[in-house]
Amino acid sequence: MGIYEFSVYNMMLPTIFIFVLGMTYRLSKYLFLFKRTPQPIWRKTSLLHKVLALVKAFIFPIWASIKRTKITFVTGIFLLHFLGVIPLLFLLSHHIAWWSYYFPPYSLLQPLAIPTSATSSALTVTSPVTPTSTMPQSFVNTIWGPLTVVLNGDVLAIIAIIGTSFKLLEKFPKKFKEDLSRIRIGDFTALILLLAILVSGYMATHHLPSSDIDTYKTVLGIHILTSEVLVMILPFTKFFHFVFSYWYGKLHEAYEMWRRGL
Amino acid sequence: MNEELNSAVNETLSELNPVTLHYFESCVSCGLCTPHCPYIVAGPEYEPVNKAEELRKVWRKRLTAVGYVLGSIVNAGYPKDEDDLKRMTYMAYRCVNCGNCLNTCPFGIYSGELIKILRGFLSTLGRAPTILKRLSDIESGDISESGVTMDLWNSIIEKVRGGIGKELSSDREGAEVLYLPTVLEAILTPETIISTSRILDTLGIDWTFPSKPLGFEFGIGSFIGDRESERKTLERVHSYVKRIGARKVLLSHGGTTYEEMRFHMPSLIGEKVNYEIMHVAEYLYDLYRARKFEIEAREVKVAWHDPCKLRNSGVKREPREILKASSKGYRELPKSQGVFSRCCGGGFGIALLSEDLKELKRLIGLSSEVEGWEADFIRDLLKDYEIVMREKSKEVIQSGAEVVVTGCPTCIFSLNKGSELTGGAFRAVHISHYLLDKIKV
Repeated sequence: MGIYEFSVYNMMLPTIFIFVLGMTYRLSKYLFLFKRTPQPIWRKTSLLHKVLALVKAFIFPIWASIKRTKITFVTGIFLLHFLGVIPLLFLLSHHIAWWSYYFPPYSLLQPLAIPTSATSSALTVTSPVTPTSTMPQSFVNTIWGPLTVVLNGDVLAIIAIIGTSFKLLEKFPKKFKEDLSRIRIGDFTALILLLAILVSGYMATHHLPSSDIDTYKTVLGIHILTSEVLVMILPFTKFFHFVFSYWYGKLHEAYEMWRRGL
Repeated sequence: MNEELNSAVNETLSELNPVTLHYFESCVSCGLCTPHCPYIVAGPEYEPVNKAEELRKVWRKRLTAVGYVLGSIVNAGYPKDEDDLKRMTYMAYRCVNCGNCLNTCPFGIYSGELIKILRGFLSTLGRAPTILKRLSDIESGDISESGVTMDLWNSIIEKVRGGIGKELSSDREGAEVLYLPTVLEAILTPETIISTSRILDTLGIDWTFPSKPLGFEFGIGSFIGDRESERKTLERVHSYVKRIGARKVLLSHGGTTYEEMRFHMPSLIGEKVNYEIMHVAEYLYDLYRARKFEIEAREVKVAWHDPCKLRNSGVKREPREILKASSKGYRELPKSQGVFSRCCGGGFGIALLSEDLKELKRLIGLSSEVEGWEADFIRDLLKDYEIVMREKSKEVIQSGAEVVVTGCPTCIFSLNKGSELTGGAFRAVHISHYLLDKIKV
């Protein structure tokens, strides 16, 4: 059995099982530690003020990063998250097809699908979209219009790879030159895993390093298997922020802002 | 692991709740908090996330399987030697708990809260600065039993009496407003207490004043992570307020005192409060809006410095509106707008270690000299404190303000010290003191 078959037919259920188990463990800790305590008198603010506070809780760190940590904003927030991983993971046409297979309502996002390339790829293998451009070069027709020049798998994957590589490389001097103890082995392994997923996904899409079916299946198998590893370790690593910590942290911050009238 | 260390670790675990668990587990080490910490100018190692990592190491060792098994490979472990303890203490005391790390964290993590717990861990291991430990112990007992403190308080009452020109009605039950100054204000900024009292009297407010001191800062134990001390002090203050039965409690200390009483007290003492707790800036703003007085405008180049605890408690607009009414020369400090303010550097107990506070040391019976690990620690901390004060002063000088008005005695002390260090271009005063001669009824 090849790595492709192993990842698709053998690892899918264990991955989901470990993920669910891990999430249950992590979330139950929050529930067990909860204890109700008397509240201070809340400041009186309007509903609009509260909505704005919620928005501010999400926006301030980004705004502060634009002002004071520009390189981190460009690489870590903009390239890695906003332009890279988030649209790729949720909207890349191949991924929409994959998610929809396991969770059919996800196909509602089909109209927003991002093609793998601005010029040559169809949205899916089975339902190609006819190029409508009159230009000599054929363009894919997506809802994103001219934005497809950027919003396509090739460009986004390269952007995400650049962002991830930068975040990985910048950790070395911080760890070994500045001796910052907060840089941990988990920071390196998480980024290396993410990089492996991005690079193998890009290579599989382009049938690299060669176009024979066995190599293609191996590379795609690596892409799927490394992604499964990420899903399995997600509840136990910093990837947890993606499904819980980020949202919990921001909502708690907004709650504190409501109490204090900030 | 020895008994003492084990007990110190166990004590930190009592601080675990969903929020501190989130602070512990959720950091991805992005470093967005780094440039916003006032102590980052003292060294790159003092970024909030790196300081909080010292507690995370301990908790990782105790609370996670991977930390227990792999130890230092995954940054988990307890302090092993003097070097470890020294590093941890240096990290723990380069934090003013200003909340800038929280405001700039994409995950809403308050590193300052973890650093507070780290200070508690170090205190259990005998690593609390002697002066802070002594202040915490005295405050959590009956502070008024300390003869010298009582002398100081009586002298303040005398000055207030002189200021208002009549007998001061202390401990009057049923008064509408209870003004609660702290001993620290009596030492650092007595004029604040006198000015606030005079304003209350001028405005004809039905107010009263404690005949005995209630605390140095109403929760000074938080500076060394001593929750029990905080709780005892706040319980005592709360029972006093209940006895007086005032509808409003007025504070002129806009630092830890305000936040402790306004937001932490109910959960610490396990009881809801049914009286309003206000800073004098909020209170005067309400009266000004209700046209209870007018402000005589003067041409003063004045700026407001946000005490971090007031800013994070939602008191930002009120003092600014009052100051704008008091002078056309009002200006903002360039790096202290919105949710951010460059801290004075003295918060969270750091200013109390200053060599200039001989009066405070005398009051609690300490000699000026410290020994052992503390000698280097305090010398180095004060150097870093000076760097932060200088940075703050640069900001004030850049604004062109001659007077910096604020609402916290520690800020006033640090700003004036910073001004001294940078040529004396400005002076810092409390908002009550600043407004005293401008209020017209």
